[in-house]
Amino acid sequence: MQHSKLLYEKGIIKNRRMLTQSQYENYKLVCRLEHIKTFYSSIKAICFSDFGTLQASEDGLLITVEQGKSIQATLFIAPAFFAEFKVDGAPSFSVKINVLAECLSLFGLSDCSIKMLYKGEGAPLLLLLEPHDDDQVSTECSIKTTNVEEPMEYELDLNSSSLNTIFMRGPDLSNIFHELDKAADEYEFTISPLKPHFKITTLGVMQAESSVEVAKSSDMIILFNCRETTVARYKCQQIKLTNKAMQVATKVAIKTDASGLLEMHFMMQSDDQEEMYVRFFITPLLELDGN
Amino acid sequence: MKCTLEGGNARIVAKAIQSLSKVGKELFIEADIHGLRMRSINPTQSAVASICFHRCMFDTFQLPPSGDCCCKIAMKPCLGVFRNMKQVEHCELSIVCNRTKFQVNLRCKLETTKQALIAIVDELNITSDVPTDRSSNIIRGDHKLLMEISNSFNSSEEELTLEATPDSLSAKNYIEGARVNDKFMRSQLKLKPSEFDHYQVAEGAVITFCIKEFRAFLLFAEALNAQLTLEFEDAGSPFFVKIKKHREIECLLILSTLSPDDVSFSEDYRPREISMCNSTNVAQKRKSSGPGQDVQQKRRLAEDTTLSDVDTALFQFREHRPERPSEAPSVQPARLLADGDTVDLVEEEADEEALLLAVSDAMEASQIPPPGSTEVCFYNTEDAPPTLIPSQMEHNDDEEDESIPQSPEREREQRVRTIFSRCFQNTYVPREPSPNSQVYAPNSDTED
Repeated sequence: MQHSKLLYEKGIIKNRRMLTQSQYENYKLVCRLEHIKTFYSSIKAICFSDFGTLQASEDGLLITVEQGKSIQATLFIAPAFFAEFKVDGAPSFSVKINVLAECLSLFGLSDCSIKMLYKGEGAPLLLLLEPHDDDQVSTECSIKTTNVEEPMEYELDLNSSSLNTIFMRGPDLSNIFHELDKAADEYEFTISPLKPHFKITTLGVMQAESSVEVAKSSDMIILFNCRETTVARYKCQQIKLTNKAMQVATKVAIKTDASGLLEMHFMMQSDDQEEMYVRFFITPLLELDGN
Repeated sequence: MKCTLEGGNARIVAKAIQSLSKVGKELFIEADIHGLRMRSINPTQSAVASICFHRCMFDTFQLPPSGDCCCKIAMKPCLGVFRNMKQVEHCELSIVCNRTKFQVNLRCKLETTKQALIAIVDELNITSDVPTDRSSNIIRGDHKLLMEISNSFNSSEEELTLEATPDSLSAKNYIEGARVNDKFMRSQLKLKPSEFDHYQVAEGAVITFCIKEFRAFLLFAEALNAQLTLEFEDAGSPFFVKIKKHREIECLLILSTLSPDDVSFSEDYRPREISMCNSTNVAQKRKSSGPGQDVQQKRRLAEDTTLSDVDTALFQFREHRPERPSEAPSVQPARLLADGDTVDLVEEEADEEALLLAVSDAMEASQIPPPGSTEVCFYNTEDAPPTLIPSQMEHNDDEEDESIPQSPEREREQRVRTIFSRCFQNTYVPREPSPNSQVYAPNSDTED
């Protein structure tokens, strides 16, 4: 089996897949994508902290980035998104997320196919990039991995009576956020079954308060499921970290409940209609008594 | 006060606010039975822009029981609210919370509503007593033509001079007879009266004004696709720019112009024309006590540039340095007006300063011009100047200092400078003889 490559070149073995298996059968994670565009923009969207945790399982690949226990972003890619996806067990490791993003952008704007390989604990993450427009060139990156720190498990109680869910069109929500006052300190989200249905208020600007309201009957809202009124404040900087994801998302789901924990799902669609999701959890600012 | 507008008109209001924001940092809003008026005044009080929206522009227009109201709000939050108006279908402006807040409510497409509450700073209003209809020179042209005139000059230019005669209009970025830096490029644009829609110039007039506010107003005229009317008398009188659109929108920009005594100016204004008045007591209007005193006082507060004290007005010069505080050399005693044609230009640190010409022809030897002013002086090359040579002066004086004692002279150098005096000076002889300047001494340069 070690000579399978040689045999392939001689024409004795015709199945290229056999080749791969033979060479990489010990690897814990092998996956391949034909077009990295969506993957790259998703990685860029969660690039706000140093390290990201990769967790692979049969259900797909998860890349999680956290900052300070108050904001967490996770990229979900289902196996169906990949051209090839093979995982052994449930390997998990940490890499520097901006290094990963830079490696993905080595060929600039031209579309590449990527192959990611991970042998096991202690081994580096291997990336093989081949641009489509040039057969002669390819690059191999080896990114050091570290042991993973388990990311925080956030969860919204699905059975909570105050769980509110809104599905919105990505570009429209992106426009709304883009027009919010950048000088503000905090954003206050109000979701209510009564008017205003969905309202974002900017707080902390001198001499001016502004707010944006969207009625639930608006065309930009695909689904509006609200049981009780929830009001919560979030730090402006953290909401801004979702900007990159919002700009490329086709659909956005906003979920929150009485605790104020904000869950935002951004659906990124690739050209061939396959989807990957980025999920953000943002913790609310606690109201101080007497405020 | 409450008024509502539909989308298209709301966009015009937004454009008006954007233009006014280029003039001043605060927006004065006034509502009365005629309509809504928005005004702004620039920091040096040399320009007042006011845009009036007639009542018919609004869908509904409600005034408070007192009949009129006015308020002053900061410009920055307004700009933020009115920045993106493409999706707006309906706009509502009102004064709420017991007249402490100005509310803007924008209803946009897709059932989105944007709301802003801007704190009202106070209820002052600007009024100007200047009669606006008495100018003898009236020129009316399309915004495109005036935009072209404005675009012909560098965007970093600060002043524009219009020289109007019954036969032609010249737009220049310099004033005749002003001494300028070697590197200064003079631009002149000449237009025939036929290019304008209406050209009425009785006698010649030359006016110089700040171009920044003029450009801001032009932008609004462009947005309205309207004509502008320029009305002026002569140098020193206010310059009016008017825009009128369909009787619904009337705009007026009052600019102060350079007085004929000044050769150039960094900031120039006539505060006596413009006064701030409290809306609750319209009868009391505080006017500036006198042009001179107040002018100078306010200037000292408002700017960093050096002033010349008008009282020692034999030498009238100001530094043409609008942005930076002056770093004038130390004081020199008065010059002796001499026969030489050499001009002793005081060297500044930056080459691009425009130095001014001393207009006076009288001098007292003992008179010391105030510290921090630039001086231009004539002296006879044969006479040893009793005082400092430019290079010996300090360059880093604080303009507010009292008179600075001269540095001691060096005699040896004095002689050297006397003999080779021209080697140590920047000589600049203007090529263009201009009618405004006076020749104090005939040209004795053998090279010319």
